Amino acid sequence: MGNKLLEIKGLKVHYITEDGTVPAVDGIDMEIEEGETLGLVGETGAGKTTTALGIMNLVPDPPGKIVDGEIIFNGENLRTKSREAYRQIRGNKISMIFQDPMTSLNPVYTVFDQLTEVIKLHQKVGSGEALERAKEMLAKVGIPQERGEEYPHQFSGGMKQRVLIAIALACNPALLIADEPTTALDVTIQAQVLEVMKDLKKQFKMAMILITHDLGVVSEICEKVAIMYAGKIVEFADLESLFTNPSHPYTVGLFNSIPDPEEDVTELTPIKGLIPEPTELPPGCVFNPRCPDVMDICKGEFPETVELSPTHRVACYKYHKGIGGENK
Amino acid sequence: MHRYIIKRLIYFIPVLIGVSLIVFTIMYLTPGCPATIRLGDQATTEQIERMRELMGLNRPFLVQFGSYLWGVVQGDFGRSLHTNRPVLGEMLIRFPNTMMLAAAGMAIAVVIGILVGVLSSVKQYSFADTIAMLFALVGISVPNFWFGMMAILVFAVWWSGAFGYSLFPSSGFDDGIRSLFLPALTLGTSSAAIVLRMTRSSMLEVLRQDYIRTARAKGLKERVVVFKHALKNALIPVITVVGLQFGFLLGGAVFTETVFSFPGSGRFIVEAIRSRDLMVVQGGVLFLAIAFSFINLLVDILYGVIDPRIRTQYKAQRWNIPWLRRGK
Repeated sequence: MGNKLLEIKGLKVHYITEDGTVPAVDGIDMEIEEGETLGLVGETGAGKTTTALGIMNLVPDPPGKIVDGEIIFNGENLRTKSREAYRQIRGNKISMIFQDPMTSLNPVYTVFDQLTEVIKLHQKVGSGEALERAKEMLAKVGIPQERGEEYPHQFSGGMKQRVLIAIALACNPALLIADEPTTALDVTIQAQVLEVMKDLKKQFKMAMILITHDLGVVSEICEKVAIMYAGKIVEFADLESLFTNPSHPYTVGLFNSIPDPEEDVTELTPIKGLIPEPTELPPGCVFNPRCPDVMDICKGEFPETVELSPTHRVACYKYHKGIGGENK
Repeated sequence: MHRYIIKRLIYFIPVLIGVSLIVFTIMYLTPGCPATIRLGDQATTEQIERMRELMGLNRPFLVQFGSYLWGVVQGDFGRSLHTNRPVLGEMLIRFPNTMMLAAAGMAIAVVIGILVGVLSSVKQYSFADTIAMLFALVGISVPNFWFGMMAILVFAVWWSGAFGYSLFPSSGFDDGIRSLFLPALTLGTSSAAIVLRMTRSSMLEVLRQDYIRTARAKGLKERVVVFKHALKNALIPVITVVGLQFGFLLGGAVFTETVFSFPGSGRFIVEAIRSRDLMVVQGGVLFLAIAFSFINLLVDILYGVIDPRIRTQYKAQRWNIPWLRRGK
């Protein structure tokens, strides 16, 4: 470890609609090292998927547009790459698994067709060898080889997600982006799929960005966590310091909303209020209308990020020198 | 699959009975006595009465229908009242020409409709898309006999007026493929417009699907995404339209063949209507209806070829015709 694989600086992805501009991702910074797993956590609409699509350069355009920022992968800024060069990276060096396995496989092609396609495309091998590799990949995700000749509608949801994992990993990518890979699956299957992913991550020694809103999953798999809220990363930390010392009021709210199995809970503790309308974000810190510790300054500008430790940074005025209670 | 085809052929029996009943009833209710038409105006009442008896016209309706249907099953579609030639033979001589015309028209419709439709969907709301939609609107709105006359005016009359020779012949069927061009274009235009619209809307729907995003995430060329992954899925509703349009073309050929004096079965039926040859009209319409049903069957089989989900459905279907099941 130690080598920076992906570094995102000031990435902004906006959706330009008739009702106004939606800053779905609004100036985020994050970095991920080789072989590391980053959890990207946030509510629906926080901009997690848009971030992922931004890295893949697959933001639907129109209405989406990457308006600013750098995506540095293996030392190269991907934003300066041509479409052709980006195609060589997609599915090859950076792969992505999507949220809904039921609809993410093409219904009119067999599993082998869809798996060999990506191998032939990036590995420049013939059909015979591609088929061999495809069989190996199916074995790795735990699907019997002979089922490769079947069509997606003959598979269950969990099996489809395994196929999608096989497709994503077929070219041995350095980075896998998994966008809520288990949300659409039922709980027992979720555990199985996560197990497969964890296992293969180790085998392939790849880095992973896991998009989720399940802090339990994060604590099991991730080494770093980024908490996203309304297009901003409000807190970015390694797993341990985030779980022992959650600092942003939003992160604290997230942890408080998890019921404690030890106690007899009759009522959940939600974060008050709703995520704001994306076209009408509040001025200043986007979280201020819901924040329990809100101050006057929070309504002015979005706070600068403060480093609490080399592996822990947070965007909140509470930690700014001379403003917040505890000056760190 | 075979089972499905056999089953469909069995369904053919009630369709055949239904269609002949409708055609026969319409002809039965049409004013004008076949015996009078057969003998001409000069015939005496006595002669007509004898002819009616000879032709079986004084029998009850159902008996007449039954004997006609029995004839049809044996390949006897009746005989022309004027020439006394068998209707089936006359139709079989002309039908290949109509088929060829309809197929050529359909080929034009499919090539233009699908290509322009795909282009239109990929470049939605572009200038090219607007032009294509305008073409579709005109193509659907303009009656094809008018379009045929305009085509004759431009390609045969004005062209030969300006250059001293005609680019395409405006009538007959002596020049092979060249004489097929104008009638096929005329016949195919409105179908091209309909196929175009269907392809465009179907493609727009498919291009939004998750599996298209998966295909892009693999790093495939946009051309491959559109033509391999999207088009095959988008074709399913288009095939339905093409099948229905083919039937429409067989019927539409009646006008086009008349405008271009094309020696096909459509013009044969129109001439029979003019000379009040009820037996030819009856047999001819029934013949075309059967041809149409056959084309529909082919379309249904084609679905299975394209969509594996339908194929499995066909396989899963069991015989549900009781008198057949008993025999098994």
